[in-house]
Amino acid sequence: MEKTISTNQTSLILIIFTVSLKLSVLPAITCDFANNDAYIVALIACIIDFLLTIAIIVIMQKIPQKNFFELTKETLSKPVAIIVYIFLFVYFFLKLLIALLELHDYYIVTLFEHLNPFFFILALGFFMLYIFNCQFRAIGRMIEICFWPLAIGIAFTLLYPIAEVQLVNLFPMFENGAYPIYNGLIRTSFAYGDFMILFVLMGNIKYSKHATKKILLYMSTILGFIFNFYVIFVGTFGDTAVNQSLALSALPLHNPYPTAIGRLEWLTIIMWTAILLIQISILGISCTSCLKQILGFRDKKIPSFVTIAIVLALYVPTYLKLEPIVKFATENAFSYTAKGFEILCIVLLYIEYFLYKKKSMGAKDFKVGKKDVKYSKKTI
Amino acid sequence: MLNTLKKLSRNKIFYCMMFLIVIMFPHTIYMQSDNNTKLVVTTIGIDKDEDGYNITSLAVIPKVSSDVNANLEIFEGKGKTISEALTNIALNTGKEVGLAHCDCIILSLDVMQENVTQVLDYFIRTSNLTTNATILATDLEAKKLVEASKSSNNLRDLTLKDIVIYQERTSILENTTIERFYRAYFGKSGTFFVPILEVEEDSQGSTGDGGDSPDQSEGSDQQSNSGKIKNNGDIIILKNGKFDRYLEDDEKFIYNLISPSSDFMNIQIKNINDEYVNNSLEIYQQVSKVSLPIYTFENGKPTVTYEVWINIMMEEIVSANNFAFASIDSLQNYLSDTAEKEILKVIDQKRKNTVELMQTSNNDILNLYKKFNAYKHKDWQEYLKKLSNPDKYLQDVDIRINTHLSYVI
Repeated sequence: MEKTISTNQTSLILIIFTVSLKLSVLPAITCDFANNDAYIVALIACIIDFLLTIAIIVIMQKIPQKNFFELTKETLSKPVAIIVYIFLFVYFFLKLLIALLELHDYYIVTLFEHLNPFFFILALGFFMLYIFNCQFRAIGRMIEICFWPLAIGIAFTLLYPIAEVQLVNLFPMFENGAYPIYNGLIRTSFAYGDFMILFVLMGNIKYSKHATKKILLYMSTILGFIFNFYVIFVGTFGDTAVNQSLALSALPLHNPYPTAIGRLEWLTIIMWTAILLIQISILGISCTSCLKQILGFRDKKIPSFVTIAIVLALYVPTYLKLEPIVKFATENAFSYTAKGFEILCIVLLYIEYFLYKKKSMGAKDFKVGKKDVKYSKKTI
Repeated sequence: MLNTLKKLSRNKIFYCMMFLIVIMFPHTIYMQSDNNTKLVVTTIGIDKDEDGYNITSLAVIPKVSSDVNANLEIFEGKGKTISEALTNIALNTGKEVGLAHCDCIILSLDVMQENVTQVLDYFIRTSNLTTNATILATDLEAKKLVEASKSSNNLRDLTLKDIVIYQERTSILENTTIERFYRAYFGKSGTFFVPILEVEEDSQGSTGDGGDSPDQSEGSDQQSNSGKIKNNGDIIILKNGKFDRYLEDDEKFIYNLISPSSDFMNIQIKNINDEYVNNSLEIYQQVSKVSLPIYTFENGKPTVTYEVWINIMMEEIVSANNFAFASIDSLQNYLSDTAEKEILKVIDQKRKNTVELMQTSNNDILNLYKKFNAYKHKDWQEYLKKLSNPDKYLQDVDIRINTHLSYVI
């Protein structure tokens, strides 16, 4: 049984998990599909994510003692639970692979001119070996300690380029109609859906007073930040936004005054590196947790080794191939499948909750009498 | 100590770190410093050659010397393409050309006669260079301007970028960077400004031509003397990546007036006769300014009205009659009704000239296409449909300026 995490830690994990895949390559990809309406795509996607997060949290709080696997096993069946968790594992695994490739590209473009792949993968392998064995509580506590420096570092991305933002780049809205926005929304849907982490955290959260409000407040803050980031990104770069493939390094370094470079943007760059590593940790632990449930292990050692082995087996051939992987992840078929799975999980959660409640209510009635008596207390 | 070691030996992270160090140490111990392998280029000048391009690079080579100039060296390379020219520099210097600190790219007017994107293509694709590098033009060889920049560094630690940044505060220029160039190039207006600097011969009468000696290789060039940087405040217009024309004085004035980013401006009015002065030239300087454009359509024609609130103060009076002031009050700073009317008249006259030039040369200097399309999309599209040639959308565009003058004592 995993150690429980507090509401505060849950909220912070959700924040870091939400922000991570959105600010690197996604802005340029969104601009590729939706042109200058990319910020509208981000807004709609954030609203959808927020609403679906509410839908999940409402149910999660009602059955705090149950995790998703146990709930599915009890209400549907164990094979169904295993199948769902296999898909969950694949879902988190693909996000993990993209995060690892983004990390490498970020290092190459922003931090180092030359990066020996052998040493990079070796150091990353050791890191994953350690962190994938940890529990969510360890990550939660780490984020609690580092949160404010991370937040300040990332918040600076909104401050640097404010003087460069040109409102004219944001208009006209819906210039080419609604289709580019719809297309952008679907094709980038895999980068959203951050509420899925709640399925893995379910059953391990110690809810405090006003837990729902706290989680939703944190969630809405970070989604608001993401929307603002996209507004500033599109407002700053306009038509050339599609070429800024690493938005988070392009924005702070986009400064025409050389003496200003080196003042504070290093803070964003360092904090973003930390956030990417935390994201990889959360995704890795999620994969390990899923695998643990699928294979029925008691601890995480073997599932983490298996996860790392699969990651490295796929990471080496996909090294320096972020673009083809992203292209695959933004294909229509894949996007619809991923989004369909996310919604299916939520629907399953609701079905399982109602089935669980029905079962619980039925069991209560039988508790009153003797074992073989079929009458309820009322009848007696 | 022993206790600490015992504690560490039980920690898995310690063993991981030791393993990493053991693996990486042999690799890193033989690595050279970046100073030995990279040429830190701060300025690049590109000239057209008969076979291709001639690149002159100003590089920093750290030396133990109090003389700033001693740390700067000029290297030249020729090639059919930019890539080949830079490779030649690398081959002849034994160092990879590093553009991370390159903040200026100078293009000669010859290069600008063709599409500049051919030259800038290398720089926009390489991840070495940031998109913040400024583009500059020069009327003669870019090489001479680079040499002049080197000698200027000796005196004042001045860079070309400093000159451009100041000019951006006194004109319509705003971030003449590569990224802005491409943004304009791929936009509908296709218009971009570039400041143009010249090189003035120094007092010894030499422009510091090369100093090539037979025993020096093509990749290095010792410059002993060079001219001075001269900035007349000229700005050239690139249309679709090619040199189009120089900005006229009236245009510079008006675009400076309506530019929200310009901080400095002088307004000169001539032959002023009022209760303070006789037949004098009065010069007012801008203290602060707010410029607000309003995009409207009048009778189906696009009109942009600039509401300009400008605070000015008297800078200088040049009297034609040997400082014969009408009264002692003229020693004070003031704005008379006559002067105010004259200022507005001057602004209006220059505005008309500017609009006429904009329409005849079809230079969308204010990027009006994008702005009308953004803020008045429906009306703008209807207007374009009515035109026989949609590319000539400026023909009916009017610019109006409502200047609200305030005086600061």
